[in-house]
Amino acid sequence: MQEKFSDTDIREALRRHFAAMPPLSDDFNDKLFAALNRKKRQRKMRRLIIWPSIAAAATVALLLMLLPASEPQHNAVIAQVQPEVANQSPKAAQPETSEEPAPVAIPHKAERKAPRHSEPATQKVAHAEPELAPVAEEEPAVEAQPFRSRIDYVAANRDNMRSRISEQFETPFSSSNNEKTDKS
Amino acid sequence: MCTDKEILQTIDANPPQGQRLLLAAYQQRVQSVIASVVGNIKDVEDLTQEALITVLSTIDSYKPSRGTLATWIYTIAYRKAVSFVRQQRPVILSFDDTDTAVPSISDEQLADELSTGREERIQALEQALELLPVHDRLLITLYYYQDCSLAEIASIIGATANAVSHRLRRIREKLYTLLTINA
Repeated sequence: MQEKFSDTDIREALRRHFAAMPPLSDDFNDKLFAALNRKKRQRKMRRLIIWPSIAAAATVALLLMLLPASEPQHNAVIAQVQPEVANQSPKAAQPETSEEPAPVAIPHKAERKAPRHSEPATQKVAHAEPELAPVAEEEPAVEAQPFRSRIDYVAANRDNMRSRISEQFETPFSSSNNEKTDKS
Repeated sequence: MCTDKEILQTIDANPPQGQRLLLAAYQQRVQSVIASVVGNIKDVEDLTQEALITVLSTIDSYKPSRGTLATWIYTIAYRKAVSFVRQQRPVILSFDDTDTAVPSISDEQLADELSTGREERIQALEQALELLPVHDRLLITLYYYQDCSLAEIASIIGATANAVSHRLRRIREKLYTLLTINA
């Protein structure tokens, strides 16, 4: 298919056509080399400018990656803890925070007799105030209950226990403290 | 006139001298390729300069295994010119605008008509060449004036050699028609 379309007339016509074309200007080569040098200089400048900016951008990106990395972890911990706190009944939470005397109502001896649970904090509290143990001895049903239900039990019978404690020690709770707990 | 190999060797050894050799060898050729596509002389000069700057600044990327130096330079010049014309007059570059009613003529008849070298015929051909669409004029220029092979032209314009051959035949038929109409 490499067919030749040789035609002297067409060649001659083309030769004449391009011969009649005005030549390039005299300073064409000078302009060309000037433009070429300018382009080379621009390319060098671009190289010089690009690398520091890339390094700066990389540093900033690294910082941005590292900084927020710690916050989400913290937030994740908070997010894990919050539902657990929310799941706890407010009645159970109150004795630990607002009213200190309530948890001490857990019977000391009953705690000893009952099988050990995996929460030593309550045991420490019970050991710390053994003088309140007789109050709990009056209710042996609590012994058989798991720890969480005991807290609920204490929270439910808080008023009764409080009155018993106050009778035992003959030191009623101050009115201001009661008001605070009511508000909370 | 230096060969392509000598030009490339000189560019490697002494870049400024090699660049001047390349310009001496290809300046007019690049100008003619661009002039076959772009009409305005001022635009031709600007585009020639742009094309030669591109050639000189990217001469390191030229690989002889892909084709001759001339083909590579013409490709750059062609793309510069076509991109310029596209920005100016996008409609002219359509390849479908030349499929007008051209009478079917045998190659022998065409050769007889076109090769009878008379002065009037050459002048008429010059005028007819001016009337050709941009791409047709470029193909004629590359084939008849720059002496590129069909494969080289195909490489330059991004087509197959068969398509170029077919297209050149159509262009010759068109020239014949134009000459007949003028006569």
